[in-house]
Amino acid sequence: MPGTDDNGRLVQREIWAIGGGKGGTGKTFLSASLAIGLARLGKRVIAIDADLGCANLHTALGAAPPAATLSDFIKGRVKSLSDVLGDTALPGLRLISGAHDFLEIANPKYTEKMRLIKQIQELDVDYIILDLGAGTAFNSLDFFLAADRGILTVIPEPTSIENAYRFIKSAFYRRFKRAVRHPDVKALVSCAMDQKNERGIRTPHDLITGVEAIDPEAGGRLRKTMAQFSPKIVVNQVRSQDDATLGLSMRSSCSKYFGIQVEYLGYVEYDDSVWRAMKRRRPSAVDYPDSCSSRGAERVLANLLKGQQIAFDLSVRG
Amino acid sequence: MKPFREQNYYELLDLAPDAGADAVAKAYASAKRMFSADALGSYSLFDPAEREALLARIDEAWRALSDPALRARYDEETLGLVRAPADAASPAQPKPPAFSYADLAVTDVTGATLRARREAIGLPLQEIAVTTRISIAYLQFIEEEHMKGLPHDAYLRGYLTQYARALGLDPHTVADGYLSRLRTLRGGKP
Repeated sequence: MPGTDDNGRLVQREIWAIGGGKGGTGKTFLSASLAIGLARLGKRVIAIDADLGCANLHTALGAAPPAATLSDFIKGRVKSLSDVLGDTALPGLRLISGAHDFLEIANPKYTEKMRLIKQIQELDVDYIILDLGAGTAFNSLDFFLAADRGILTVIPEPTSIENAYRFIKSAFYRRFKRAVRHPDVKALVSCAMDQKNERGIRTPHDLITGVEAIDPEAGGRLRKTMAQFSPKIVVNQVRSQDDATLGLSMRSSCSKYFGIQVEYLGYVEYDDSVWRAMKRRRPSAVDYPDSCSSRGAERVLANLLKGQQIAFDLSVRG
Repeated sequence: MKPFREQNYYELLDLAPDAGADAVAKAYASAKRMFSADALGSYSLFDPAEREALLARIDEAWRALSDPALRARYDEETLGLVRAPADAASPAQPKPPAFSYADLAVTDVTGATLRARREAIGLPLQEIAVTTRISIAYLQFIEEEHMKGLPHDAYLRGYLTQYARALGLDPHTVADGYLSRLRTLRGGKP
């Protein structure tokens, strides 16, 4: 998101959020790898552990347990988000650790969260990486929607695919609900969030058609919202060619079902280095830069920076 | 972007409007696989009725796009595209394959049809044995459906996949079809 720095110069400040519904799909791994990769390119990066309640990005980055965390900011113990910034061993990469002390911090009030998002957007850096928590809690959805690029990590398992689609649906309805004012329309959106609703609304498209009948202008707004929503997919823990092409079929499925353009950024092969590095509380991107998984994450980063998708020859499909 | 009910045939098959016949066939095979009931990538997104409707649309797209005359009419009437006729002045087209990538249904796959396909393109077993490094005996057993001689299904699937590739056939269709036929021949359910 472009902003201006203290000297009034235009700065390109981009926020990337990494989510994905299911736990254990590599959100923290990818967040750490992208943040480290950007820092190595000479960018100024802040990685934020937005997994409120179950924070562990500091461990994946090989940093010590933090003295100050997001909870100090959310609870107003410090004024500015930069007061909870910590350094990492890597030049250019700083870290804001997630709260892990109070249960209630996991569910901040909406106003607290908006204050946090606003300050995140004002941080003086090139890139901000948001590592989101598992699940489709409003926290994760709101951070995902506030980011310039939303990235979903999936692994080739039905549970992960199911949760990724649930995440996309939930993000839609969350955004829709905030985009409409008319009470009847709001009620219709709430009704649609129940998959077994009696109005027969199954897809976001059914919903838009329903909204258009009540309020054509709101319907048009939703249509625009939908067209702008373009989540990106990374397939992690790939063990076969079929696993690697999973992103292609998810892209096609989303086009058929939601009518949205999902981008397939690339895949990360499964290997032991991530697990070995984690046991030593070290970033695998630093300790095993030549591993298949580190190179996979680098390809994803390259595609993100170039704004392109994975180059895939369908004819190699096996 | 539009959901599948509003997508045109090219969008349904994830194809560019200028896709060649072989690309259309591959895209059809790939779409059928992506949206089959046991496919991972579309898991949980479609309910059974939606999936059935989507697969029906994909079949419809295939019927229209795989037939040059129907495709030309569809292009013109629905998309407003008029193609220059392929005449002698245009550069020589590469020779089309003897058969299309996707014109083989799972239920068509037998040892005999595979052999017929192979003979139609004049590919000797010897040659397949060299490129795939599968022993010629196994390749013969596959074509003869020689139950006793065939390896375990897990290995056989790999052999079938490679054999299909050598013939330019869809590996999934061949492996699924052949293994399903074997189960029938053994007296189990297909």
